[in-house]
Amino acid sequence: MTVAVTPTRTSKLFRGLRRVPFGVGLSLAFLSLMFFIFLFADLIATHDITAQDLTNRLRRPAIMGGPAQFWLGTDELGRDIYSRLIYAIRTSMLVAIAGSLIGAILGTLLGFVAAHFRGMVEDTIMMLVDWQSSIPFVVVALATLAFLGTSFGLVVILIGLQGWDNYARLVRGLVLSANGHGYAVAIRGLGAPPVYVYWRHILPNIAAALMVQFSLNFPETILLEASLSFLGMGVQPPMTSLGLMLGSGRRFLLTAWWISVLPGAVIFLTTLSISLVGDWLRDRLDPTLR
Amino acid sequence: MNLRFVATRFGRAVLTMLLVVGFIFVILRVAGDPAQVMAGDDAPPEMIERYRAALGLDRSLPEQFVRYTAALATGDLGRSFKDNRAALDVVIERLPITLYLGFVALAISLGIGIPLGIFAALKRGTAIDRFAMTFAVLGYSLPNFFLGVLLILLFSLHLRWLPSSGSETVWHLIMPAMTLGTAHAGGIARFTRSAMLEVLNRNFMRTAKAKGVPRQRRLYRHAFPNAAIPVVTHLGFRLGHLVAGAIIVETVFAWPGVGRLMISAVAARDLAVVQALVLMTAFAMICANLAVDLAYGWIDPRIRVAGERREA
Repeated sequence: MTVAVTPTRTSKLFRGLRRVPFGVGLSLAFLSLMFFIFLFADLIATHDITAQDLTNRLRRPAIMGGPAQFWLGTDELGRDIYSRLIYAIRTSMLVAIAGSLIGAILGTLLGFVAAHFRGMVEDTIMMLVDWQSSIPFVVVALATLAFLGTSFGLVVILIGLQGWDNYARLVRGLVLSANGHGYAVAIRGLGAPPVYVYWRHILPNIAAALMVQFSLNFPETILLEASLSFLGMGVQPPMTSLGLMLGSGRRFLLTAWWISVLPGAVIFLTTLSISLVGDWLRDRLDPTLR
Repeated sequence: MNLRFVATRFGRAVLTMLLVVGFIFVILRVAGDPAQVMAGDDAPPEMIERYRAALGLDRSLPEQFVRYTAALATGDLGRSFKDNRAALDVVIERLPITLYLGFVALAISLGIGIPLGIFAALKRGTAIDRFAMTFAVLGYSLPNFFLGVLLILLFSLHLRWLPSSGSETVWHLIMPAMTLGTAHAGGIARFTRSAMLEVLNRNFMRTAKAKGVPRQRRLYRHAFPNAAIPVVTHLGFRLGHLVAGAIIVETVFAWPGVGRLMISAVAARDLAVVQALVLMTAFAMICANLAVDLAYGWIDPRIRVAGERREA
């Protein structure tokens, strides 16, 4: 069953790539650019992000008549905004990717556990899911950071904990229904241990739905990191992130709006691109999900 | 209404609230000596002693938890170390101004989102539909803090029409309420549209048409009530986003409400106030979800018979 299903879906995806809508193509190109920047930030940055040039503070971008060595101008300490933006993209992408993966893996695992053991275990996990959905996660995250203090690792973990409940709920439902399907019953009848059935047969069959969930969750993790950093509770200097740049540049809106607007635009275009690609993927991979 | 249904929902709400209390209880102990942590870094020894006595730190953990929960239940949420006032009072005095912003934003998002969603569903595939869906995607992708910054840039700094911070006049309300409202209008429009589309394709709608029920009546008496069910549930979930959004929006526009209090309390590590804020937010959200659940059971008889809400 697995062998039959996966290639069909993949080939369908590739056939579809030839007639990708324009907006989706543009989004994919933008996301590729972001990923490229994430990988090769060191090569494309032109300045050290902490290097200050106090004679060149709050300069305009070169295109608007600023000095030629600072392509996107400088901030209040004369640091190069272009290079800072590149590294901010790297940090934000790193946190978002790590956070999304933590959430996906934890939620999927708990979903499988809930569906396998049923009874008390399932009730406990679903109670935690209900709890997580019942209060806004930003509040939980802020409280945790207040009590435990801010550190990069804690921020990544907190961002990872956001959204696990959606995976757990989804996977539990899917596994429960898959367990009743002929193929799972047949393989189990042949004497396969549960872990083998889940890993080799059920997981590949629900992968499409998980990918859709990932595309829904990823923008949320980007926005959570950006929100926390914007509020000054996420990524801390000397590191920089898109939310942090936007938040700290806010004081200079009147004289140097580009410090805030550039990272803001990057966040907006990234979440927009993922939403567009995600919607398109959803229609393509899983027409039954909405 | 079925008593058992109400009792189950109510029991669940109480349990969820206990989990929130448990969360704070655990995290306070993970953070170090709870009395020291709660009282703040440079607290006088007698203050730490008072916390130590209040928290009952010399007793066993389960007993501490019971005492802690009992103290919370009587409204004793600790004191703000900034001015030594009861944390609960500090939060409550900021509440009205946040509710003011929240209700106006909610009204904006419903006022835009629901009609837009309905029109998009009725005129499916037309320019109106495409406009509504573009609006929805933009509303979803444009973060509150960025939209706020753009609005300040345009209306306060460039055009000089609106004040960028504070809450003194109704002019101050416009930008925060629009920022918070439009973000949710997009999501609500999208959800209303899909709920409407689903209802419009049902058999009973075709039957009504075949019976010769006029279009107006078909919409008002048949389509809207049925589409309202998922939309109401969705609003319950949305409320959390609204609270989270308020924290950001209040920070951007220096709106002196609960959200800004949260940020300043977290930054100053005024933990009694943070604790009070988390508990009150959780309490409000749990009550709202309970109300939605009960309203849902009341609108849709199938739910209260089954006693279990379908997975959304």
